[in-house]
Amino acid sequence: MTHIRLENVTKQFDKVTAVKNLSLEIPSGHFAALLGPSGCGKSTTMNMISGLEAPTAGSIYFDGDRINNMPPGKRGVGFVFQNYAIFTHMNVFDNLAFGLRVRKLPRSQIEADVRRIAQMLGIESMLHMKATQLSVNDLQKVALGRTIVVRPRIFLLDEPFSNLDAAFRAYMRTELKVIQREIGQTMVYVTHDQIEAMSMADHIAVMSAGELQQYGSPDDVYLRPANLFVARFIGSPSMNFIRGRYVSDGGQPCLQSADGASIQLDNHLRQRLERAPSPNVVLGIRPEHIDLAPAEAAPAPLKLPVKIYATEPLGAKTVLHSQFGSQIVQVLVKPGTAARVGQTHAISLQPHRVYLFDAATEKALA
Amino acid sequence: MNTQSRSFRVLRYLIIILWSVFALFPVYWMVNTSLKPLPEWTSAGGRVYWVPSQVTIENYTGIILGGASMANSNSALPAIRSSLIVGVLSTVLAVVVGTLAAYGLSRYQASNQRALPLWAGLIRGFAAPLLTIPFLILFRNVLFEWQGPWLGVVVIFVFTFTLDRLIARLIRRRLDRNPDNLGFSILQLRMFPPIAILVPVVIMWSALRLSDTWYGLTLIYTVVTFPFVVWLMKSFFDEIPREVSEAAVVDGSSQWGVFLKVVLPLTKGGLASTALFVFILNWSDFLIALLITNRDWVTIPVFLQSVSSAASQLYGPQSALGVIALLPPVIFGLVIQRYLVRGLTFGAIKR
Repeated sequence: MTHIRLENVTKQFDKVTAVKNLSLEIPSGHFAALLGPSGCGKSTTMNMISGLEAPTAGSIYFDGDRINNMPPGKRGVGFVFQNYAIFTHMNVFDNLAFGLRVRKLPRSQIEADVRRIAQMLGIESMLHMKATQLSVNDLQKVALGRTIVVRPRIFLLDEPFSNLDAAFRAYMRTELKVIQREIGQTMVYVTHDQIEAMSMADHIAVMSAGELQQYGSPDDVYLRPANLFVARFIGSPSMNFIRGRYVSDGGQPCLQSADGASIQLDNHLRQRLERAPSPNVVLGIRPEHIDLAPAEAAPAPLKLPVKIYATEPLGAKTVLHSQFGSQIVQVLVKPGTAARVGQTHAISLQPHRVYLFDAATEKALA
Repeated sequence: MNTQSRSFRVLRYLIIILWSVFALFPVYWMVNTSLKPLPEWTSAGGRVYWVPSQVTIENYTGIILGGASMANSNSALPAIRSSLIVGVLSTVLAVVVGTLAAYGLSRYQASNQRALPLWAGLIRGFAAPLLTIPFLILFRNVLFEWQGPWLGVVVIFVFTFTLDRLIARLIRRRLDRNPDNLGFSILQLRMFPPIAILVPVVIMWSALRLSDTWYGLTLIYTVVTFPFVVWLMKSFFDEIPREVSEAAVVDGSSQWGVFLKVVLPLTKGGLASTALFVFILNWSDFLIALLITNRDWVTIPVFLQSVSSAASQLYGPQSALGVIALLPPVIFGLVIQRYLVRGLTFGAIKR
C-alpha cells in the first residue's frame, strides 16, 4: 500500500516538453488511470514513476519519501508493458520466476509463489511451454503474472490490453479489477481508451500535450468536465459542440451560432450566459442528453430544427447524425425511433445537461 | 502446391543439380586428389583420374610428418597449430569486445545524433588519413631512420590524431553538429581495402616486435574483424525492444544482469553466426598472414602456397592440407547450427 505524490514534475526531451509541471496524488490502494491521446505525456509520467526516466524538475514521493534518484529496481514497482516484454528465450515458469530469482529467494518459495500465481491466472498448464508457443492473450497473462508474483508496492500498467481482442480485453478488465481488489495495491494504469479508464479506475487524470487537464473520479470527468478537451475526450459518442455568441441587445436574448442560426434560451441558461466573462462561448451537449421532438412543434427554448444526415444503429442504441445549419449534432435515441435520412426533425436539449465553455480559454463556465 | 507442371519441376531440379555439380566440383576434386598416389595427381601420361585407382593416405602423412620426398620438407603441423590458435583467439577476442561495444552503442548512444551532410562526412572520414600519406612520404627518411622506427610510428600517430581532432572541431564549429559518430567511425576502419592499411601495419608491427608472433597476428585479426562484429551485433541488439530490458530493470536486475541473462540469450543466434563469420574470415585470410608472419607462426593458407617442389606445385599434399583446413569451419558450423536455424525469433512482441 503506497501513496504516490507527484509535485510539479516536468520532463524535457531536447526541445520537446513531454510533461509540464504535473502535480498528482494517488492515495494508497487506489486505482488511478492516466488517460489521454498518444503523445500526451502519460507514458512518460509512468516511466518517471517507475524510474526508467528521471524527471527534469519536480519531485516524486512514495509514502512521503522522495524517490527521484532511486533506481527502478529498488522502488518496488511492477511494470506491465503494452507489448508484454516477455523473455522469449525462457519458458513460462522462468518468466514468472525471473523477479524472484533476481531477489535471490529460496528455490522452494519461488516454486510455490509461481504456482500460486499461475493458478490465479489460469496458466498453470502452460508453465513448461516456451514463451514463443503462447497466444497473445496468454502472453499478457504471463506478463501480468510476472509482475504480481514479486508483490510490488505499486503496479504500473502501460496500455496492457491494447493488443488483445475485444472479448478478451473486456474479460481482462474485470479480471484486473478483481485482482486489484484482492491484492489491494496502488495501481496506475495508462490508456488512451476512455472506456477502460472509466470502467476500472477510482481516479482519472486526463492529460493532453503534457499537461494535466483534469483529475477526478470517473463521475467528475464525465459530469463536470473542466474544459473543452476533457468534454470532448470523455464519452462515446462524444459531446456535441455548437460555437456561438450570446446576443442580448434588442429583442429576445439568444445564442447566435457561427452560421447565423439562433437558439432560444431558457431562463437558467440565460443567467449563466449573463455571468460569462465573454459572449463568445461553446455550448456542449452529450448525445444522450438530447431528445427528439416532432418537427412541427412550436419553437421553444433549446429546441433546434435539424435534418437527419445519417443513422448508425448500435443495437442497444442508435446514433442519429443530424445537421443543424452546417454543424453535425449527434443524438442518441432508442432503437426503432422513426427517423429517416433526409427527414427534418426538431431536437430539444435537456436544459440542466447543457455545458458552457469559454470560446477563448476553453474553460468550463458555471 | 502442386500446380507446377511436370516439365517445370524437372527443369527446376535440373538447374539445381547442375549448379550443385558446378559448386561442389572443386571440393570433390580436392578430396579426390588428396587420396591419389603421386603418379596420378601429377597426371603423368595425360590421363585424368576421376577416382584414384588406388586410395592412399601418403599425401596426408607426407604433409603432416613432413615427407622427405617433398622439396618443402617441413611438417604442416606448426601451421595448423598457428591457424587454430590465432583463429580461435582472435575470434573470441573480436566477438567479446565487439559485442560489448555494440551493446553500448545500441543502448546508450541515443538515436538523436543527427547525420552529417555528405561533404562533411567525407571530410570527417578521410581527410586525416589522406593528409597523413604525403607527410609520411615527405619525411620517411627522417621518421624511420633517425631513432629507429619507434619514433616514426609515434609521430605519425600523434600527427594523424591531432589532424583528426582539428577537423572534427572545425566541423563542429561550422555545423553545430557532433561529428564524432562512434558507430560510424568503427565502420570506417573497414572502408579502406586491407592492403591500403597493411603497409603501415607491417611497419608498426615490426617496430612493436609483433611480427611473426601469435599475439601479433591475433591482434591484427581482432582489429580487422572487430568492426564487422560491432555492426552485426548492433543490428541484433537494435532488434530487441527496449521494453524487454526495461522489464528486467524494473524487476531489479543490474545492468550486467540485463545484458547477460536477458539480452545476450535473446541474440544467441546472431552471436553464433557472427562468431562463425569472423572465424571463417580469420581462417581463410592469406594476405595479412603473408605480410605479418614469415617462419614460426605461418598459417595454413600461407604454408599451402609453399608446398611445392622446384619444378611444380605439389597438388596431392596441397589437397590433403586443404581437406584438413576444411574441417574446423565445418565442425564449428555444425556445432552452432541449431542456433543458426533457430535464427532471430524475438517473437512475443507485437509491433
